[in-house]
Amino acid sequence: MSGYPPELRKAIEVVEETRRERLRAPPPRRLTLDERESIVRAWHPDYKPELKRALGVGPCKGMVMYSTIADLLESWPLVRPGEVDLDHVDYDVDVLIVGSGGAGLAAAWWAVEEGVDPTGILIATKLRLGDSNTVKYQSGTQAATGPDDSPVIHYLDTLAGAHFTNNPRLVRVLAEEAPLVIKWLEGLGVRWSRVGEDLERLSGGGASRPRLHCCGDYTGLEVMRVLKDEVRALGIPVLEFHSAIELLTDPETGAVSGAVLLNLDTGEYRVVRSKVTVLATGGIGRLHIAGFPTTNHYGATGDGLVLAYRVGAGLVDLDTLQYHPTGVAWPEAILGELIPEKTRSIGGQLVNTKGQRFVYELEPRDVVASAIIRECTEGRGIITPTGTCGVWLDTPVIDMLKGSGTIRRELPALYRMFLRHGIDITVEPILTYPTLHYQNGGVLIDEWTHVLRPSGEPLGGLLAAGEVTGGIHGKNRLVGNSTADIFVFGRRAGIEVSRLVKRLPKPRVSLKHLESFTEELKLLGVPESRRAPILLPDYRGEAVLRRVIKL
Amino acid sequence: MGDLTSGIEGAHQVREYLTIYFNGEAYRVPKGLTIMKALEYAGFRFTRGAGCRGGFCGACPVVYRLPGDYKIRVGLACQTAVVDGMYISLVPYVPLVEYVPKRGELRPDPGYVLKLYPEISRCVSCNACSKACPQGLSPMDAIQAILRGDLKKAAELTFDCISCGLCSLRCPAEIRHPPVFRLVGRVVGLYYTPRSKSLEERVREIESGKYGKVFEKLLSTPTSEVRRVYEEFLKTGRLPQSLEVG
Amino acid sequence: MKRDFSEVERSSLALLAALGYRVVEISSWYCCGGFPGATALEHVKYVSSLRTLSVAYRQSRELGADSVVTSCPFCYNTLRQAEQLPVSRPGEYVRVADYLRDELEPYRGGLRVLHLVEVISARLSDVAKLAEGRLRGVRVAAYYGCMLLRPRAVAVDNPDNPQVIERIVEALGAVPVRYPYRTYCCGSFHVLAEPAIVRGNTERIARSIASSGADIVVTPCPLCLYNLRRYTNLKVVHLSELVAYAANLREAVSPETLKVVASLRGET
Repeated sequence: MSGYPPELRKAIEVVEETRRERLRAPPPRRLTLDERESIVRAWHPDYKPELKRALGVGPCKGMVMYSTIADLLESWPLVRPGEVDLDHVDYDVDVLIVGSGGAGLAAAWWAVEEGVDPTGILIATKLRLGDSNTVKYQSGTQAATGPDDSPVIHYLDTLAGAHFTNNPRLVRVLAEEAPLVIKWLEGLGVRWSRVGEDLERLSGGGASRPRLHCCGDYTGLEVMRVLKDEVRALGIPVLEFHSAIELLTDPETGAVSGAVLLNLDTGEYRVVRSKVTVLATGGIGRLHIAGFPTTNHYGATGDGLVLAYRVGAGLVDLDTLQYHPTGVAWPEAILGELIPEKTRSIGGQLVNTKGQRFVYELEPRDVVASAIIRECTEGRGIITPTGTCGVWLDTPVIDMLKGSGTIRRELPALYRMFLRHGIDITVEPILTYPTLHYQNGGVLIDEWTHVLRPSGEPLGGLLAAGEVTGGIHGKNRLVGNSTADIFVFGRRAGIEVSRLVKRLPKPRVSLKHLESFTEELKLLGVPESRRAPILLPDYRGEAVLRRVIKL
Repeated sequence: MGDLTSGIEGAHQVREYLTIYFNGEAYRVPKGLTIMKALEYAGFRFTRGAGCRGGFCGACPVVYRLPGDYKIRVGLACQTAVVDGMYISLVPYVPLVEYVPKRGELRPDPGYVLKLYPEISRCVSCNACSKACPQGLSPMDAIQAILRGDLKKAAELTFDCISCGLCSLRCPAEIRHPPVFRLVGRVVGLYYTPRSKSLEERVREIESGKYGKVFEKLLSTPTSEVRRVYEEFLKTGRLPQSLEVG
Repeated sequence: MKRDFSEVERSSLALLAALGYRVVEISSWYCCGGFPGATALEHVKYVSSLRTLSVAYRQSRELGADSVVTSCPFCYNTLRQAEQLPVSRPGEYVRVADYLRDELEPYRGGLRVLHLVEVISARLSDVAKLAEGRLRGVRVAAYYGCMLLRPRAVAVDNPDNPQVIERIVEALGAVPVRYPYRTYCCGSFHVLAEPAIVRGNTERIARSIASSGADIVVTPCPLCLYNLRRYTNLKVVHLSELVAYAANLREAVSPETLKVVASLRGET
């Protein structure tokens, strides 16, 4: 008994009928760099002008970006000066780390490794320690560790994957230091998948050598388990369910000097004064930009962008987002969840309603996503009973290509996820459509994670690492580079923290930076009902929201 | 909008509804949603009990019963589809007072695991834990493997464990499975896993600055030239001699 | 036995192989829990053993086997009582089987549960041939312990006057030595929480053996073995190791046992 309703079972027939032929035929031709650019320009949401507008306030006023992000940045603070008693500091620390995903935990770990006293650190995290996009990652971490590979090739792949729009200096750091973090994690006891005694390295879209390192199908979970244990064992204080709602700045220098935290359980605020603040707040998927579902975790609401922008940070590449080509299109229960790239790396084939493959599955993500959107828009996609559109990802071919049991062994998480809804992916194909996955751009940083003003000058007191930052992935990120990013730059943030903490004096705190910002909001006529950061998405049903009274 | 299907323009959305009970109260929700999405639809906004929403983080364990059936069923709220008449209870937190040892304290010895969590030896092989696992694992087999001294097997069996804690809640011997399994996983990762020699070699090369010159060269090369080099590389699989690492 | 007494397993398997048996480990077995008498809760008593038997039964059909053998008297006792449960206590059986039915088809009969000593004693002439009189003249005292003899329903021999191990000793060419405390409890698992009981009991057993003129003590139970070694000066070895030694399966015998037995025979 299949989990698919009869109309979808019927649509599957063409996939089954064309399978033999598709196995024999060669894959679709790889596109040239020019062809890649054309298909993306024609079909990718990044190129839809109706989704964009110019930002109206702040240091990057006039920058064109996704309207949803512009709305987020043009929002009133949650905190009004005078409402918060800054004379009473609740936590006086050397460094405040906001966020506890891979970047935040790496920063904390390396700060201690480089000599910072654990009790001088405070990790403030919106949900539980470790709740992040990192814990969900499956596709592995890119690092040029293999004998036939080189960080130079990784560097070039990354530049090309972004159509040469990224910052080469940051990319160099990424490519050169990715192997170092793989070794670091190996040394902590992370169980990278192996072939014999050596590391297993998988292929990925846009990478010209196999260099994805996974831990079975639960890479993120395994790495985060180990990092959380390390951070706990080191005795680093953690405040769970505390969101940073506003940064604090030195009234004279404008350097960042801490943050106001909000206890999500009780509604109380806490004032943190810190010499250095590290933003590791992750992504923005839960804003469902352009109406897309998302692969992101519950707390991915772009808080870090808001916080950094208000204190004067420069931003980059927010006119681009990564839509992971293969999100779940059906069933609705798991809409938007990730179908990992590995599914395609090990042989899964994308098939339209005509039973044809229409793109080489391991092109860079923006290319594949654009191709799928093209198929659906031009009528070669399947319309599901819930009104979504998708193409087939033919998974049974994987076992036919690589032997029975391959899917169960290589993709147990995916297998499990679909089985819970009555679909056995070893026997039936799955429906897929792009899903909002990653914030390519973000806050401007230098090679040592200092947050910069648009002029290139460091803000002072503020570092940032991970998805919240921009410049590393340009307008398109390659698979596996995000997790290389969080650990490489999280590590750099931690090392930099240890250097800064030694020489920075205890700062003064204020909300002075809000004065000019709120002036601009008033001038622009932004209604005071629009506030940010959003903290958590609101999924209450329409019927409920229409009748809610806020106490 | 939001987490539900927004649908493509003009598409017809079919919606059926069913009833679920949460904390004893009845709610009409659309068919085809997960417990998490259904409760949100009904008006609940989660602070606790929601995490990755994809089945990886163990934040949202749920215990439920179906009408006319005494059996206790378990799942993850973000992964379990609603069924008509379901009686739901969420378990956002399971008390697991645990001791997290420093890496240097960990020992490749089953006796060490038993010392930190002596209650493991109380296992009576009742298998209540396995029936409570939303990942379909067998915690009992892993505990038995530890008792037999086979830490590698226990780590293998629990690789996909998301530490939701449901097994521990149901265990009559009050074993704290999640920290035990994490401990075993770490011990195996540290002591029973080979270290990659090629990785070590590459790290040594990088730390010695082997790639420095080539990167400096690339960083001072105009983008159009770099692009050309890459196109050539895609065709031939080789980089130009000037960019080869010595 | 996988951890602290692996020599018992090794020697038992070597011996069974030498006697021509094909032995396959049960694919999924679970700690038997000790013995049914240790608890009043019927599920705890029998669930694990019945589950092990259920798995064993399924496997036995594929292998064409009909018996389960174990070297540990506790496991023997528990498994044998579980094996008899459908007939001996049908009410309890129905409840435990019902509980197991969620997981697998519960055992309903069809397997023989044996202790190693029963297998050896059924092949005495073959054992004698293998032994070739290697232990000639050695005086061996058999210490039975409890679990192979009590309760009566699962006893491998007459509980008041068992002879099975003495007959094995004879088949090996050695001289069995009898003494009054052969079936007196050593104190068993009380060694964990009330060691004074074990100290007292093993002392009595040791005095009894000392006056019998035995060169070495052999026992079928790893726990008795542990207790006697810990609290007395007796030279004690497990039955499987002694028989394996006698059958010249030296690689399967632990170095300690080799030393002990060799010293008896005047070897270096």
